[in-house]
Amino acid sequence: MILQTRQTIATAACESSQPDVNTARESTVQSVIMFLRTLVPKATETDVDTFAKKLIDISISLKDAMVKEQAIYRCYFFDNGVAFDSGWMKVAPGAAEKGKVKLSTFPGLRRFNMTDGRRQFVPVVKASTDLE
Amino acid sequence: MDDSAPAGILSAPVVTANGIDDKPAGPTPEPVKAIDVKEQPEYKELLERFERSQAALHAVIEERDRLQTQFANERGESAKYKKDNALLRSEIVEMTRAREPLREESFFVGQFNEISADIESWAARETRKATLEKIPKADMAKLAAEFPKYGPHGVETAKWFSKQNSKFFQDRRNRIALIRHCLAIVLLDRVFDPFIFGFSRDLSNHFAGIEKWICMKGIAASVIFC
Repeated sequence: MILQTRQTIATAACESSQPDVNTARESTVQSVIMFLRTLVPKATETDVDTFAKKLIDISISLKDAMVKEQAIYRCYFFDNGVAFDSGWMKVAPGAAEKGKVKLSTFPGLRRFNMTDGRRQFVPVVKASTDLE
Repeated sequence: MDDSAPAGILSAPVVTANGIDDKPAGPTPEPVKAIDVKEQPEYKELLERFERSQAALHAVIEERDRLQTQFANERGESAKYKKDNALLRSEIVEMTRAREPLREESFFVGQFNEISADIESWAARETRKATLEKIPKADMAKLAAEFPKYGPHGVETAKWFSKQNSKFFQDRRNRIALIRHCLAIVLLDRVFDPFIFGFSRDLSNHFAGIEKWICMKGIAASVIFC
């Protein structure tokens, strides 16, 4: 019942956000383009623009699906200096699972869980990290 | 047989050798009385019946016109109700669907991992094309100023980034990690963290608060919260 109520509220709220979606999408695409052009100056404009648009569109689509689902999904992220925790973080295959986070390279995904009377988030996809 | 014309009927003219004699032969008939048909009771009765029928016909024609207009209006109304009905049905289907789980968790895991892999492979491909150069000082400053715009993780990134040497990112592995990190904080702050994509931070926090209350304290508590 709790998740159904949340799903109904979120679905209705999602419909009301429609007028703002295009502006937010364009602004987010421009942010991605700015970072990519600065960090990969030799990449062609077309490559950068196409990739930025594709990336934002699939991300928005995934976010939309998460919001409308009868479950609560949340992303999480680790800042530099946090000690490695294998329950919530992962490293590239072959890298040592030890030390502190240098850079998180992608957020993790967790889901709200209400089994056995306990209400807590459990990791669904671990955050990708690069350790120091 | 009596040849005389019956009363009220004109005698036929008599034909002689010289022509036609207007004077009828035999005894002079009584003058014919002119009959005014309109004064005849049968005529009046027929006329009245005719007028009544005509009035009835007009009434029927008016009724027919009224019914035709009503029919046209009701056909329009009917089409409107059919359309409304179809819309309501689709709304009901949509509402029913909204109260069911829509996708398996594997869908979200797959999509999430796919986005991460897409960024990694794009960064790897693009950084392989040419030798990486140091990030110019102006760009280092620009990035340091830009990070705090992307939420608390952006602020933390700016702190860490400002301590780094630009040579550090000449290393391809570090450059790829930085590209992935930058896109991650943008996606996190602009797409995945808000309650709904496109919501302002305030609105997002408000809805997240309601959601938290519902989850932690139940439905009744959320009513108090609202």
